[in-house]
Amino acid sequence: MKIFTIIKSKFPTILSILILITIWKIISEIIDSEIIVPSPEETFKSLILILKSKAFFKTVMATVIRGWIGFLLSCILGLIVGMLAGINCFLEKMIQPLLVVIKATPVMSIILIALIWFKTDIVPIFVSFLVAFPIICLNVMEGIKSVDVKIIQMAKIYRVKKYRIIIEIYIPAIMSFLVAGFSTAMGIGWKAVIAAEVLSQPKYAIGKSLQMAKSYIEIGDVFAWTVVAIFLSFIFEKTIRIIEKKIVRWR
Amino acid sequence: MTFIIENLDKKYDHLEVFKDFNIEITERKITCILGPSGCGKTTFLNIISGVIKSDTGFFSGFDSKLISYLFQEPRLLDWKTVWENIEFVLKDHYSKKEINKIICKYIDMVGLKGFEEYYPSKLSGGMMQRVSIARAFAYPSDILIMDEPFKGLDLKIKRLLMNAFVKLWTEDSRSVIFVTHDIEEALLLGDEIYVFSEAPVRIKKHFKMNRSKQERKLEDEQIEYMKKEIYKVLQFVI
Ligand SMILES: Nc1ncnc2c1ncn2[C@@H]1O[C@H](COP(=O)(O)OP(=O)(O)OP(=O)(O)O)[C@@H](O)[C@H]1O
Ligand SMILES: [Mg+2]
Repeated sequence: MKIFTIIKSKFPTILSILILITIWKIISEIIDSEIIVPSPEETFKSLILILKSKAFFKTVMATVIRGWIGFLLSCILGLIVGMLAGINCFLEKMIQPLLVVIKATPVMSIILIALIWFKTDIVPIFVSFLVAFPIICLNVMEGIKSVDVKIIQMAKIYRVKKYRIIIEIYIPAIMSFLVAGFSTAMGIGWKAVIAAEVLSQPKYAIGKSLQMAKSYIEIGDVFAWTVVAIFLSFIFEKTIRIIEKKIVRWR
Repeated sequence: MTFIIENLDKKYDHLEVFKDFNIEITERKITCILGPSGCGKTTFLNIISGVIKSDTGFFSGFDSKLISYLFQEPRLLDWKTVWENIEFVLKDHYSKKEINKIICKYIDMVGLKGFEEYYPSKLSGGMMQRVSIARAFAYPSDILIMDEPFKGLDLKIKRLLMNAFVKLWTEDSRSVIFVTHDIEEALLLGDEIYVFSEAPVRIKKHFKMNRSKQERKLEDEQIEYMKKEIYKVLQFVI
């Protein structure tokens, strides 16, 4: 009974994935060339081989850790700068152009510049940091502004201490905005990390593996690594959703 | 001792709400303020509580007094439960043990036992209003300011809360300043009643009640007379 309802609720998702794979299969049949569009089965075979390879875990973890370090840095800095800018109008006007510039800069430019400045291992971290930072920062600013002045008046009338106003009013108000920011920043940051790895070529990296597969015309491997990257992104997204449910359970 | 407000001026853009306004409020009494909608009652409460600044004005008696303010709207924290919302204002004043006792008492008083763990999004408007009443009463204030505290509540709960309020006030006799649209409420609860005019505000009427709240009845001759007078000032037709 319970399994049945789960299947029923997930049915549209399963159907959509099946349709996608079918279209993929049809296209690969029409093009009929494993080096341009590998069939789903070929890709699956490549995927299994990749999963079995010794370096797989190391490769994936290296990329994930790079992404996380950059992401964590942008969270910390984004939270601090966003809060200050959210409270102080002058700072907000100061930081605004910087954020606009960072957001408008093509990811490729950021990667190329980072390649000139940093060592290969640092490049993806820097890129994921810079891509995620403006998103987190803007969301935190938005969150601060969403706080109703009437609530702050209330807290001041009841002489609630300043640090408690920050911890018990501002932080919770930011949280739901922050989680939304996490989700967007994570999605964009993850893609940027892999792109940066393609160019910077650290020893272990999903991006490097993609690039290698392309160089050796192992197009099945390119697809397989892409599947791995999509799957990981999906896991992150799910994790954030679970965290969101925990944090904003008052909704 | 009294709270004195003299030469109060307050202007919003072009609207002069207060112009050279003077009033005295007796300490440890319940002062009711009546007046037409939009005349400046909330503005008055906001000024004396320090939420907004007046343009000019002399105030005496308010220094270092603790104030609890029951706003016209509940102003609860959405991310805190009923219990936590009250705890929020008590934390800096009491120990944990005392807080538990106090919150229990006031939640019970406003008839919300069993709803301690509810978030505001799961409460009705009237229930939120009652939480903010509990919060204002529970706070160890010298002055209790209330802006239409019993609006939007059904008759039974309103009675219950009015009785609880009188009982509470008899226990600790805080200074209460209390805005309402309900004339009978003012006649039953107030020690002094002020009737405000349209902006710029003038005091149109000032009554001192001499009978104790327990023995007051609406059918009383003197009360009937006051009621008629207030109706007249507020330009209602009976
Ligand atoms: N922040 C503001 N800016 C400009 N005008 C305001 C502001 N707040 C109130 N007013 C005006 O001041 C007047 C008095 O407002 P106030 O809220 O004090 O009335 P009130 O007596 O409490 O009315 P009600 O009984 O309807 O609550 C109103 O005409 C209102 O439009
Ligand atoms: Mg008002």
